[in-house]
Amino acid sequence: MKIQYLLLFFLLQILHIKAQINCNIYKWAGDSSCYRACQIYETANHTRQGSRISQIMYDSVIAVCPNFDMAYMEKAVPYLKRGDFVTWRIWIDKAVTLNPKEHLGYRGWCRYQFLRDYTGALDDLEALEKIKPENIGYSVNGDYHLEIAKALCFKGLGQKEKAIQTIEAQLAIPDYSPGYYDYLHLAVLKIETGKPHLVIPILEKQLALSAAFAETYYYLALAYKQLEQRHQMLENLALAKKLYLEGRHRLDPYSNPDDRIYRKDLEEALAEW
Amino acid sequence: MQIPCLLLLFLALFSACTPSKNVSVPGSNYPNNIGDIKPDSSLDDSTFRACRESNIPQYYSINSGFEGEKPAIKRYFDQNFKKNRSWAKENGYITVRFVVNCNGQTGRFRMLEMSPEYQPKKFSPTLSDQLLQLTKQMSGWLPGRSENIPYDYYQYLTFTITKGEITQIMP
Repeated sequence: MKIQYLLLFFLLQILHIKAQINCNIYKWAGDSSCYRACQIYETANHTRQGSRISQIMYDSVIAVCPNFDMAYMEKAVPYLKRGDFVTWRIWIDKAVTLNPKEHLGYRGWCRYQFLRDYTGALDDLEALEKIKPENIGYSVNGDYHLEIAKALCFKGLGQKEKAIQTIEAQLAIPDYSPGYYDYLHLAVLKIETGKPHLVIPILEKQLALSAAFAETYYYLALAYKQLEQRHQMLENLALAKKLYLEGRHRLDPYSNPDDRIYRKDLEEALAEW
Repeated sequence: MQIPCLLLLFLALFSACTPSKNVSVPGSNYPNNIGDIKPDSSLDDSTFRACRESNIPQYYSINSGFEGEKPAIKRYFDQNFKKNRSWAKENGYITVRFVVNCNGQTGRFRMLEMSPEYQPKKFSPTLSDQLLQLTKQMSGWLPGRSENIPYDYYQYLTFTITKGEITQIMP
């Protein structure tokens, strides 16, 4: 019974995550082919991702309405998640060509998330900024504003000050709601650029923003270590270990997030700090 | 499972109100699931068996991983990958995809090579073969688990190669 509830939960999640399209826009425009394609697309979204039937259905959408960008995007996804990036690019590039405002940010994010292709991701995100300067939006998993993703790419390329400036500029936007990990990444950058005294207020904001997870306390401990405040360091390290062992640390089902910590980091810190 | 899905497809294809030209369902050579690796006696260790051939999920859909997590994977390749000066112009990505069975044994290794521009390419065989062999020799993959049931799963490692050196391992 529990499995059935779980399956239902995951199905609802999938349905929720898949982009919803109002097929009537094609009907109202008198485009009966794309209206029909849209109906197939909606049905395809209920199939198992990457299954033969799913791929055939997206092909059918494309056959009926060759400009239906979402079908190319959905067809591409299983290749991305299963490590066939060459085939992924063939299909996602078609989606981007048809609708760059919709798909450039997604492609850029995926280049970062799956390959740490920092330069390629920045190319996409900066191209998106040119055509959508008002707001480039969020990563598909909702974890990051894409400006923060850009900052992570700058960091990956060794441009840490630029990464700091990018995050701080985003956080300074009056109506911006900070993302779940924005302060964490900013704090780590401050540590890595030799400014531990600036870290603690940043991580206090992180603690106020999100549920407790091990990384926040680990980096607090690291900042206290650099500030030579041993008692606070040990206190935070113990909390980090406790949370880590409870499984409350950064996780992404597809790849290991930047600035996540591992058991080895904690064991070494406890032994050596 | 596939029959209801096919039914859905045909209902969707032919249920639109406006009659118009007939649409044929595109033919394809898709595997049952994108990324499936068929056993190949010319490539694979004949002793390797998946525990449940009909259901091998992807690494991201169940609990899976490597003993010692990503730092252990990185350390393994740092310690064992032998660089060669002749690879100074080798850049791109090498992905090794394989199956971890429900006992943590690995098999069915397949390699995909890609340029920095995401185009198919061939790396120097001495480089790509070394990565393939090292990946085959790894021990420490954890059996998949979901709801306390052991599972096989598909896993991959993607190596970013910059001037012949490993500069990133994903995921």
